[in-house]
Amino acid sequence: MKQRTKMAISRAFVELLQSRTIDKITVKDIAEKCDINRQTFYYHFADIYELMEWTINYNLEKYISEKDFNGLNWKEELWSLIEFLRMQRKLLINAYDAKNRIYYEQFVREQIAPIVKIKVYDCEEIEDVPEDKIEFVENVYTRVLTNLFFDWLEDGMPDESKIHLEDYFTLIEGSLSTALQNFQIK
Amino acid sequence: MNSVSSKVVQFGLGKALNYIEKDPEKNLLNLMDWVDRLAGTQENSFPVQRAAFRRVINNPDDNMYKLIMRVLKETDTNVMKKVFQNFFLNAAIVSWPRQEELRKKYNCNIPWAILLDPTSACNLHCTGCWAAEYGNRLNLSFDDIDSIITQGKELGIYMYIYTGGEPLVRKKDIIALCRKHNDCIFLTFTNSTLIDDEFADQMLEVGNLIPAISVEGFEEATDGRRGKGVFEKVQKSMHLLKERHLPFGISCCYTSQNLQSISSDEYFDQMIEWGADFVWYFHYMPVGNDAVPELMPTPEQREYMYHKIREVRATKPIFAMDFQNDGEYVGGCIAGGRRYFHINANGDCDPCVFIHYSNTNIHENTLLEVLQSPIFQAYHDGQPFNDNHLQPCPMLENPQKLREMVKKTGAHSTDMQSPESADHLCDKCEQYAKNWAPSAQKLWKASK
Repeated sequence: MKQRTKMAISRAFVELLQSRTIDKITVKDIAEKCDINRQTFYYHFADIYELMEWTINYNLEKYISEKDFNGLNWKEELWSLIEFLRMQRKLLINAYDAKNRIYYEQFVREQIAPIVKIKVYDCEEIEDVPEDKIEFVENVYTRVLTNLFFDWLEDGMPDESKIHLEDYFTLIEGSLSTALQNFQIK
Repeated sequence: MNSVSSKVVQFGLGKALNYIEKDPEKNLLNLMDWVDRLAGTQENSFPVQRAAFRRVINNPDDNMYKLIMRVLKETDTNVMKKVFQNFFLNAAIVSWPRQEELRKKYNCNIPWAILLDPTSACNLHCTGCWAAEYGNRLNLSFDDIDSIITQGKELGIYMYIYTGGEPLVRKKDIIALCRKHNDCIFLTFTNSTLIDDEFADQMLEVGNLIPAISVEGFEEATDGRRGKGVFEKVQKSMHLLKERHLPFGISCCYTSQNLQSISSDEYFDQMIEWGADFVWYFHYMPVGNDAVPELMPTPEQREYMYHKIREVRATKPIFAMDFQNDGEYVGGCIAGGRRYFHINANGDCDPCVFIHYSNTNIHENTLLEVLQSPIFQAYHDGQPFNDNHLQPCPMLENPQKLREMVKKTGAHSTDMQSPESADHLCDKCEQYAKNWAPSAQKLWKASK
């Protein structure tokens, strides 16, 4: 029951986001659209930003549960992530403002970091590298792609090639082993 | 305060709070350093209170130290952080300068907390309680309360206390308001019988709602007055809270009849075992046409209470307060908006939860208009009503003061059931006030 109301609120919100930006949407608009009281909205969410976070997380979970991730390599996983983000294009662009940039960053990093981690731990050179240095390397590669995502977002999320994901792969393949080697304790 | 640096300090505080859960003994001092930085050095930043707190956390033998450690260890970490942020920082340190500024600007009281009745309805029907007799149920709507809080935050008020009726009759709206105003701290008086698993989970989720449960004694006394099985229900609710590491307190009204039993060591130990963090004692007030003045404690009983509460604060890991006898810590009467005022379910704005005379209603007036209204202004100009803070109240210990104020300001009775004149009310207190005065003077002298 609770989840159903949440979903109805979230759907109304996504619909409103198709035609205007988040700062032009009020709780009253959302409540009217899904035919609930304002207090029912607040029973489920503190504000529109919390609703936005819930919506993005919910959609991601749904996407993951519907798509078969088994046997994908790290590149395919990243491609899937970008594909998901692009599917949410309208929502992500219209909901984006200075207030929730931090949330976007956190969200995207949380998705990218585990994939990068797998890639890093696949390298033989990781032997003899102290843990804090491994963490540092992971962090740098995660941040690079996170920032590429923001460039892409601010450009209006045109087609996938514009996020330079293939270039990013080339960069990692060409530099990761060397970087780890240089951090090894000799 | 510079907003950038205050953001930096808030960030530091957040970090310090994260350490608290790991090693409270060591990191509490660390946290206090951040609080001091946030508070700054102005005189209105509670330097005396902060210094007193620092003395306590530097002294592991102090009873208050043991209480603080107990609370830190037994409370859910997220709730702890929320309460610390909203109660200690937002409601006290951060908003105090704003309140002071407005007090000067408008020359009226600006409170620290607002008490409000979301509803006059109650699910129990206890002997002697007016809520049981209400046929017509009055409610403040979600939008009414939302507006009060929104206006309140403009004035620097971050603490909201629900009374009633039974506030949790409206538990869905209460949770919605906790979520919407998640920078505020909410406290609710409650008989607790409507706290179930779902509601307790929601309390844990929002983290800014603390119940003060009314229990006045053991099973026989409780069930006798409130109905069979109520005591067991209350114990069950407290268990649900304790299970989730949610903080809560207990509220008791002491009368000439129950005083012995609810101030016994046995009862204090019982409350600690239940898991209560604090207990608030209220002196019985002979308010209303049906009041029973014989229930007012005798001077000997009140004097006993005075010593007992101080003894408990020095020896037991529960924070005990007695509003009628603790005036010395807050400069006497705190009503009339000086630190708080009361809005009933009809929207009438009373200076005090016990004093039902008003010139204003929240449906017609803004909060600021309420605070500037005649009866509130009379409180503002008259406080403190007595230099002896053991005689703080303009009704109970200084009945002539309330008579005068009500006459002068033309405030009307807001009692919806049976309107009572100020003279009728104050007549009941004359003898009490005379009897108490010598004891008050003796105790006051001894405490100096």
